[in-house]
Amino acid sequence: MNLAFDLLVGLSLVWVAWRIVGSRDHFQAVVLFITFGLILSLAWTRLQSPDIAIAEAAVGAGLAGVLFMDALGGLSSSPGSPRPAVPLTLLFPCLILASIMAIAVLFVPEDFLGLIPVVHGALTDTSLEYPVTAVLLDFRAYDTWLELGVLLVAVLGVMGIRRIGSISGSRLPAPADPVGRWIIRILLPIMVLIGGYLLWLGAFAPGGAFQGGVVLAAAGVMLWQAGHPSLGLLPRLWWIVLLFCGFLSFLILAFWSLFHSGRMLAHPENKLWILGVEYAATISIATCLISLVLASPGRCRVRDN
Amino acid sequence: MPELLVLIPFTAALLCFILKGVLRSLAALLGASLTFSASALLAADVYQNGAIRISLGGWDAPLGIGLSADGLSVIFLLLTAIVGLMVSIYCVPFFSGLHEQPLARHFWSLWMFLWGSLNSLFLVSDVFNAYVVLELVSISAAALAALSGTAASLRAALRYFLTAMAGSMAFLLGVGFIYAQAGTLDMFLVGSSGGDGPLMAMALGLMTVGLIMKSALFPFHFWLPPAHGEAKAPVSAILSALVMKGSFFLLLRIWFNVFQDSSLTVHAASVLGFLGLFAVIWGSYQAIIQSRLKLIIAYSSIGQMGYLFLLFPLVLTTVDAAWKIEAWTACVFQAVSHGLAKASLFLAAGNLIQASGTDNLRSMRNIAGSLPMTTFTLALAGISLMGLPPSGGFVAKWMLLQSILASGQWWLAAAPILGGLLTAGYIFKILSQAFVPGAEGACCKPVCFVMEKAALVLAIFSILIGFRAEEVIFLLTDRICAANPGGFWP
Repeated sequence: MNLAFDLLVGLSLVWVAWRIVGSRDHFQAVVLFITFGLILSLAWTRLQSPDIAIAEAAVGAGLAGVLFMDALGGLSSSPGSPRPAVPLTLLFPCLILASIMAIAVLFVPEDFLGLIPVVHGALTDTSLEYPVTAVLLDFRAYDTWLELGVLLVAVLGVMGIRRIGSISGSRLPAPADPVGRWIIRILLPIMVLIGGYLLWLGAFAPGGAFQGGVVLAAAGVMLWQAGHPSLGLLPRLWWIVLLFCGFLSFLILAFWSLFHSGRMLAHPENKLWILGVEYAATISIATCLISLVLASPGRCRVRDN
Repeated sequence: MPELLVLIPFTAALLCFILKGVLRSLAALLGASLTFSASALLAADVYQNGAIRISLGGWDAPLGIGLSADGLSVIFLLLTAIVGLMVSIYCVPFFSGLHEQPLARHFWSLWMFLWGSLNSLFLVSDVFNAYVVLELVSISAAALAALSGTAASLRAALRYFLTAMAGSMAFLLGVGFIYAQAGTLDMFLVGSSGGDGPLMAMALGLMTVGLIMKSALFPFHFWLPPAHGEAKAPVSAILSALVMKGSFFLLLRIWFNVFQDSSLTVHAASVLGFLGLFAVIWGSYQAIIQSRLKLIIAYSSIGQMGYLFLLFPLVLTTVDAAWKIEAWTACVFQAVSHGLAKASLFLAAGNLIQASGTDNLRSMRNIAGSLPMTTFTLALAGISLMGLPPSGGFVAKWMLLQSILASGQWWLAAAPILGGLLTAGYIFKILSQAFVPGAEGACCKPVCFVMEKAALVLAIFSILIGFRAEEVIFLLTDRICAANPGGFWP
């Protein structure tokens, strides 16, 4: 039964991917891309990686879908042409590469554990209980810090291309109709609650800063889609504080630990510090993702703020 | 302390986004000079006391992430520091002009982020961390390339970004295969665990293809000329002098620290060598037939990067250890002298564009009369690119030619000989226009003194490095982190 389900998920992934590449219509391709993200998150669940599944569903299917739709809105205002067909000759090199990789995967030892025993062995030395969060925030905090930097640089890059210094003047979609407002009024508190819950959960179960931040970002984007400026309401300074606080808290931790103990990014004993860094990271992730959507041009049915 | 090389530019990046006007320039210059001093101090430390390895957060290698500074890292860090400082000094007057003023905030914060991530890349000792850093480098570099704001530059930057992302994806897949084989991500642990087999072969192939896409080796060079040609002059200098070297550095790291020698690496090395040979000839030829100054310099990057890839067949197929080391030092030396000369050329091109309003060669007449210092800079940097003595380029190409002849792969000698001639061709094409008397008032706008000086200093450095060859060679041979057992170190 499980095997049949796995086969179904795997085959539909390949099929949807093929349809995305072959689709002649932009809108259809975007919808298929969102579908692809959802099936992919199912696949991650089957691989027993709930953390990645949540992130994939929220970022890959959710926010990436919003950004694509937004770009599509910008495209459709100009006379658009259908997507050029992808030459079939590309199929063969791709198939060869895929089959080489598939064969290589067969050589992975079946009892492969990697670093899992090492991580479990070191859990007693860190104040976090859940191994994934411990890896992200403590053992490999440097990677997490640089990933926050990637998000920040993406926002700075979009703003550089638009030549704007803040998102407060960004354009708004048309206001939602009463039914939409009613739905948002119910959904918004629930989303904020779920975001906070995921963040709190990260200390001992699947969840954490990235997942929580993405759900909060989805709430902010939904508000903006309904014609509310959401984060654009904030004064520039406050917006910068929210945008930077995740990266900045890691930076402060790095400086402090470097001059205090000589080991950069070593967390102090007190658990409050590590939680503070995680909460700041959540806020920054949410702010960065919302700013990405708000700062992106596009949208044909806009009204100036 | 190698950590400071990452911390200082990142702090400066945040400050540059918040501050305004003169304060922003001050923060940027302070950040640049502090990073420069920290790099110089680290280099002196490694030169005197040997390679440094630290683990971050107090977690040792298999669990945590480390930073490693050996002779190779220090050479590239110094290159980044010199080019970075000069470009930063150049950019203060450049971005105070009327047209560039609104871009200053974005340029400075993106450039400081890029500098920090480049430093982090040169200190990398963990394959997954290398992927994260590569991502940071590519995103900030692509955003900088798009800053010009014209439709052509946006298209070029997008193409650059997509190619770089495809390269990152290939690299990440390779990281997955390495982890599946070795069960660890630390480069030096993977190297000493002696893993060999289909998984490692797959990883080697994927990572190499990913990185040569980012280094614009022929046939993956298609993104480079528009991206470098359309960007602002200091951005082009950063992209060609530093960002391309970043992926080349990582290629050296994984080839000589992570993977074992096998028949596969030898075959792959000859393929890389042939691609490099093609790149030298094709890129230099394309540079000759261009008519825009920045495109000539951009195509020249493809050719000059090609030399670096001759390292792989020379090091892996030569029998005699002494000649292997000669080839190794020659190619790294070429990377450094090309970085300095190319940054200087792009900055000088920026001066010419500011003076004449265009970078079409035909409309740039009589620049020798109106901008003598910039013309001198072009000539000096050109000497280093062509490989005339006593420049850094000469030392590199001389050692390269020697090791090619010693290795018996004589056909590779076409690269330094033919490539040098073609390089002379396009350098003289630029310089010949400089002395053609132009129409009155064709080239009149003044160029800030600082901008001319910054380009000149880089050109002088690219010559002077030829006199400091011994120290560089010492760093590259005696201060290298112990490579894998099958490696070529004596």
